[in-house]
Amino acid sequence: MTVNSDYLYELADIEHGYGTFRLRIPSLNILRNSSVGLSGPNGSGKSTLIRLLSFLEYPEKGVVRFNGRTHGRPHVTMLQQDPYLLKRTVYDNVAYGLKAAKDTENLKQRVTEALEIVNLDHKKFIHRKWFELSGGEAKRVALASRVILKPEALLLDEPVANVDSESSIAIMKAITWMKEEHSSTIILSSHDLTWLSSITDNIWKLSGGKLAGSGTSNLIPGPWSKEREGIWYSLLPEGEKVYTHTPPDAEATAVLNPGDIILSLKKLKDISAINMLPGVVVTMSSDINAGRIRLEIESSGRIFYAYITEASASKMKLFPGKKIYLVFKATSLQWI
Amino acid sequence: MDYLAEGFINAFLLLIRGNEETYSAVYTTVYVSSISIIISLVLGLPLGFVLSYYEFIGKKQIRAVVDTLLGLPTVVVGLLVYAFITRRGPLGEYDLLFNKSGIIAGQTLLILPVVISLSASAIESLDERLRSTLITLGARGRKIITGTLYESRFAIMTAAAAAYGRAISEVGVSMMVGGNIKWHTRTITTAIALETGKGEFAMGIALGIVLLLIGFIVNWLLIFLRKRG
Repeated sequence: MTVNSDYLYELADIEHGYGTFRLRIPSLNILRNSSVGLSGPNGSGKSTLIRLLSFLEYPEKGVVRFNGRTHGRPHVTMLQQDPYLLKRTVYDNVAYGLKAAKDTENLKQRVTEALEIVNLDHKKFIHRKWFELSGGEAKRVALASRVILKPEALLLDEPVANVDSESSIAIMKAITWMKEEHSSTIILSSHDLTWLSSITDNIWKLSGGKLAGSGTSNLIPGPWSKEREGIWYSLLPEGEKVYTHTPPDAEATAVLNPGDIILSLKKLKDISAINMLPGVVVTMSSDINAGRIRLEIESSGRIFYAYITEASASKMKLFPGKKIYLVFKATSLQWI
Repeated sequence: MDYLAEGFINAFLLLIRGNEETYSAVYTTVYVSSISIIISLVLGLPLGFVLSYYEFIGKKQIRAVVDTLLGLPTVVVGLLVYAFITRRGPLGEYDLLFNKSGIIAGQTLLILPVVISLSASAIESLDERLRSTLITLGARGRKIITGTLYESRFAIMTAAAAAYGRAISEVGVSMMVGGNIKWHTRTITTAIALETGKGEFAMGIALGIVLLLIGFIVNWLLIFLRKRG
């Protein structure tokens, strides 16, 4: 087999699951020294994919290749969503991995450095016991235990979920340090797409165990009900309907590219687009690479992502809280 | 009631003056029970780990048997070990009967289920994230076993203390297998039984005090180790 040196991970024909849940990924390649975000709702398969990528589990079908091989340890490490600290001091937690690898040269200095990377004062924390830490501090100690290993791939499952803002910033800086100073490949999952897009090069969306496109594409899950011949709809949480043409099956998930959404201040008439959803701008963030503004718009209890040029945003006088309409065609919805 | 007060006073005199017969029984008890607990921990901890950590056919049935053996009557163990090490028994040639080695064999048999069962329970109650944490930090094979046992060290210490308590306080094995031979196999419990039968309360009480003291020291040590973490 030839190894493509650009790819750290190569996944092919993956099938894995528990109970009725199945994760199915026909193909996925992850570039070396990239930072990849995994996004999707609860139960979409983010954590399962991370466990497969960290070789904590092996797929029932298909293969996960790391550097062309079917195992990745000790070059891969993973930080769980709710990490477990060993019942030892902070020093012993951070030093554990190096001790296990019998790599104990300058151990104390390396532990000190690892704690500094996660912004924990080593003098204050190094002798603390596992129960003498707050939730955010414990997560940072757990991250330091992984950072010290200098892995080729660092996987993080919801790294900033349920942590204080100070810890969140420290974790984000440590992740950036690992990528920039150590050239680690970073793979992380999060519900927070805005945070994810600020720290990763690329985002993969997961829905129902399938990859549902990349970037900030909008996912519209089923069930789909028939409105009339050739026109079906999915009900949003607060009652609005999203229309499409006949879906492949009633439970199918559709992808709506943010670029296919037109934003309007007024309800448009005499247009071919069947979908016109009232919404409220929630956040606006600059997409520096593309010179445009990314909007999170709440409509009928669901968040939609859309783009607009800076000039249009200025002309429309958009700001968080402004009411607008999202307009898109039935044919804009693609099936996964 | 005077005989009780007199018994207590004489008991303290025996202990303070270092009565050789009393201390011989104390030494034998501490010696055989300590060797028994060491052997039981060496054998029992890996077995407890296997019984709790791995899935295999018959696991539940084996666990049920081990749990049942927790309450094994000491005289039954004494009888069983006696049958094996008596001159006519399969292990008769090793001259274990009425020797400290025989008592150690019997006590090990008695407390091994305690160590296996309680250590298995301790490992079962560990956080399910521990295994994946150890693996993601680079632990393999033996490191996972030692790492897991270390995480459950407090519960295992409690299991060891319970097993030690059962060993030092048992009388059936020591009496039947050891033979209660003065200066040789007489333990605290067999001495108490004998001296009480003879109406010699002082030595019985003195030995009883020592037995309680050993139990107290073991528990105090446990609290100290817990505090140290």
